[in-house]
Amino acid sequence: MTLPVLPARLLLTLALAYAAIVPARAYLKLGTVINGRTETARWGTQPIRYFINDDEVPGVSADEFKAAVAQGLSAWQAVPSAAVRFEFAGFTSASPLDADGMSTMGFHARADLDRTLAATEFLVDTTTGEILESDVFFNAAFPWSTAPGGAPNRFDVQSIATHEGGHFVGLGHSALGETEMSAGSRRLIAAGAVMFPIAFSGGDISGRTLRPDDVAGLSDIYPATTFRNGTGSLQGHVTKAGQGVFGAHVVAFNVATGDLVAGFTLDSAGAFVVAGLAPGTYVIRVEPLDDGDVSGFFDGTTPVDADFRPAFYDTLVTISAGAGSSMINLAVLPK
Amino acid sequence: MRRAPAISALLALLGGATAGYAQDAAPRPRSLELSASGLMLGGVDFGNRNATLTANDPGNPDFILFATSSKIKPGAGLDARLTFNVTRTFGLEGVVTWTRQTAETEVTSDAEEVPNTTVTEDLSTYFFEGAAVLHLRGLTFAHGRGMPFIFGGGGYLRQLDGDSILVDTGSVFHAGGGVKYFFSSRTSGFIRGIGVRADGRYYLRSGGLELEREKTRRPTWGIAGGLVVRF
Repeated sequence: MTLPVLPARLLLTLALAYAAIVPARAYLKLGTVINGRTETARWGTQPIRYFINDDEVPGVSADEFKAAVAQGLSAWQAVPSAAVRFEFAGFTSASPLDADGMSTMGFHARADLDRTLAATEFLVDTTTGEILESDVFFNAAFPWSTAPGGAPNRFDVQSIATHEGGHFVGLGHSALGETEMSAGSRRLIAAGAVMFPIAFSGGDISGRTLRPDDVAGLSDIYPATTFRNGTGSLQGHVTKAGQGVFGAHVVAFNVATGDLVAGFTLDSAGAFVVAGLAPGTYVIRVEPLDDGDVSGFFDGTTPVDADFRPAFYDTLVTISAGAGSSMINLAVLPK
Repeated sequence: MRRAPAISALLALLGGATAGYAQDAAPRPRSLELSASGLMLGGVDFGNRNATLTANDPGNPDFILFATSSKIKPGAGLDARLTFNVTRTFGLEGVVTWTRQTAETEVTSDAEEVPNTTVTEDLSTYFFEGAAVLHLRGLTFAHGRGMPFIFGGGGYLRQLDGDSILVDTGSVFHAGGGVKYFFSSRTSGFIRGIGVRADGRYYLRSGGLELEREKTRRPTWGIAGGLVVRF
């Protein structure tokens, strides 16, 4: 999975060779198809051990890179509703692009990937869905910084490590963000999740902080014991002229807290489930997937329908702990 | 004046002759009263909250995806009270209250120009309370048929949405005052009197639908009026 910069055009890495979309869950999780059934790709053993490549780039030493990556991963490890742990295994000279049994993060110069800041690749056991290896490369062709407050026009290692850390444990991209086309490329206006596929500008450290959507996604893959009983889920269908809509982005807004958690319709019937919602009352909004390249979210086997107008569900939806909502039907109109 | 025949007929249906009643709204000690009232319960305003995204460029304010303004509208319901009059002045009550209200969120300023819309949800709110009542015998009126009272109590709140999914539970306290007016009363028989009551209350609830980040005690008002039967 990749994190592009401006102007953005997603690079699809080897990760997508293993990636499928796990149906009936919030956000997007990486998955693998086993005997016709899609299993969530996740690590089977913890702590998840990773190595740091000892290459350095201007302004970032190997030690600084290691510290920034550790802080990025610690954001995920600190999620109270999830159970995931990381362990630094040591420095290595191995490339972060090698499938060698070692999960490695490090810089690698790829000047040809002039719109890709970083990418994560996976080795997945296709019989179990277990992630065996995950490598993250940070494109040394860009200027980087580990300054505590960020550095102007330099991309923040910790922010990008936080995003790639989400991929590292099996999360796909979130569509909680707004972009605009500018001079033929897509520009980020605002994001509501670290896992949004387009990075904040250089010097911005907003990507260090997980948002409710990120927390819900991680907790869904690695639930702590209290997660299932402490949160609820939203379920229903998005339809247009009576037909299911694939790839519609369904956003749940907690009226009390302002939290935004989102998911997608993931089958031809337009079915969706947004899990990991804190108990409360929600406004539901559905919108087409038009703020990122579709290939950054789906593998292209099913065409995404983006030809409909955004809309709100006309009823407030109550989510109770440990329970699903009643089935809701979001009928949308063509543009 | 046109009501008199109807009231007499009702009294007859309930097994009471109307002759020979003492004109006194104060209850007998160790007697029971049952009342059923229609209730109008006040609403709650939760204010505004925006759905925001973090703007690219730290100096920019948050990007507003859409804005909301939420409230619970006033609604109607029923209030049933069983009162055990310990003395002629003091009584203890068991209270069950049900109200039907609508939670409403107005959605405006959508970033992708979705027309402004109002999103609603029906709510059923139940109060199960214990209360105390004081009859103000010194303030009777209408030749003793009418009598003011004050009351107060508290208990358990349970709120369900339109699909009967539990929204929340909590606690509720109320205090208020009103008047009872007995058309007639008597000193013997199963039914000792029939009258009407009207009151106003002040509620303080904790729990139930909360559309603000901080849970807090929510004040609201209620007015009720209905029938009271004394045994």
